[in-house]
Amino acid sequence: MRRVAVTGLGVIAPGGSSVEPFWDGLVAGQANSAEATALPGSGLRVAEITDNAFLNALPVKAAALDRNAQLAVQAAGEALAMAGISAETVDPQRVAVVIGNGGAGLTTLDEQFKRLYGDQQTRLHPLAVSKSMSSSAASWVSIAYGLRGPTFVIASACASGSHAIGIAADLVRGGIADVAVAGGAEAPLGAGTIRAWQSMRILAPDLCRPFAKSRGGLLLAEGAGMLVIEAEGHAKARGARKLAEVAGFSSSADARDMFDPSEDGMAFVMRDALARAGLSPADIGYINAHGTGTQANDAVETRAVKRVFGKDSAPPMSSTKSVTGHSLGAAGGIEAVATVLAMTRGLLPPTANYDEADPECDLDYVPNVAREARAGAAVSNSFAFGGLNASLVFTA
Amino acid sequence: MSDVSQRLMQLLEKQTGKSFADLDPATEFEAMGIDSFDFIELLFLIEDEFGVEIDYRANDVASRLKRVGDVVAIVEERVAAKDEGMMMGALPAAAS
Repeated sequence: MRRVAVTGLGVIAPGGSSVEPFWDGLVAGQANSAEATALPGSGLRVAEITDNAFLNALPVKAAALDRNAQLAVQAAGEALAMAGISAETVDPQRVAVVIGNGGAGLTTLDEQFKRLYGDQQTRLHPLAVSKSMSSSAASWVSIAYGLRGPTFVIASACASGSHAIGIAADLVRGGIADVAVAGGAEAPLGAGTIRAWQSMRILAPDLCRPFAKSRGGLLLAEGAGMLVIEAEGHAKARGARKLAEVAGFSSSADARDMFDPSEDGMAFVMRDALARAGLSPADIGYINAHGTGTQANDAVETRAVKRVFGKDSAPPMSSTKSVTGHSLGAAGGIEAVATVLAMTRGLLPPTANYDEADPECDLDYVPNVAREARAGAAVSNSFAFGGLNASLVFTA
Repeated sequence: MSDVSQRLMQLLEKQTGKSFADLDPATEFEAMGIDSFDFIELLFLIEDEFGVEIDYRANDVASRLKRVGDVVAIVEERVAAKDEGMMMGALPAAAS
């Protein structure tokens, strides 16, 4: 089996439209939260990407893409450029594209349904189908950069981005592809999608406060995060810089409940991913938590981490969703980028907005202030509605 | 039994398929086998049935509605506020 190196990172998230400003925002614990543009006067807060200058610089015509695919193409472009991968520098037939999406084309569906039902129009936009089909983002990344390997979307709700990276790593490990651009994207901030989330009554009223006693729910967000991963020998042969290694991945289903997270399921994927990486819990220097800021997730994730790592020997764990909000299918991709950066920069991003300790959440969450630490290996967790779990292990 | 609690019982029976003839205000939803997401669905049905909004956040421990009586009280209060608003010619409360 081949080893899988990470050679490129790309991200677009609230507060940071590329890797450097994104990282600066994480390290500063600068939380993003504002009233949803799609619902003025509603008081509903989300985390939006406010700098849309990237749309003018996309290699494809932005208007032909749903926002979900626009974000995917932007983040993939940055990751490919960092890795030095293009259709000219490597055999494009050997480059896979695996994108995680929770929903897809949500913005397009929202606009088109408004025309149909709200405005009583009978004609819909001719690109409504190509913009809203589930696989659209993967197709657009392949078209934008001329990549011709296995290309598809993975949907596992809030674990989609992590599943995409894990499955793409398996494609590279197994020799199906030499390189992959993999991660997640999501653009769920249209009126319909926000209202649907509101109806579950789990949206934070102001800020996302993971693991704090005051946590009031999740903050819906948009974004995309991508890695370029490749066979280690392939990276070496072309003199690429290895940023990290995708050492382990595990996924599982709880087979139990759509909403209620399972400590067993979470503990299983962390243990299994460590075993696949050939590591023990003591090797892990940092955990990027799923940490949504809901009552249930944060307490259950804490218990699962204690079960795997031990209460007193658990590594520092932070939730970068406190800064970026929860971008659903994109989250695993964005947090993989954050996890790799934490390792390469020797700095653990904090859990922002942490104001009051909760006896149910009694681990070290790197509260509010970034911390210098050399993590030789790190875990990134994603746990989705529907009881779908994913855990990735990265090594330096 | 007030009009509100009677209509609420009918909604509960319709949603759960169970008969709740012996319910009293102190009965806890959990004891009735209604989990947190059944409960959120129930609130949605109640809001539609009574044309009111119930400000309830699942993550806010302080806003937990545990017993049948808690929900009856809040619905009665919202219905009264709505009727009063209508009598005064005010618009219904804006969506939150």
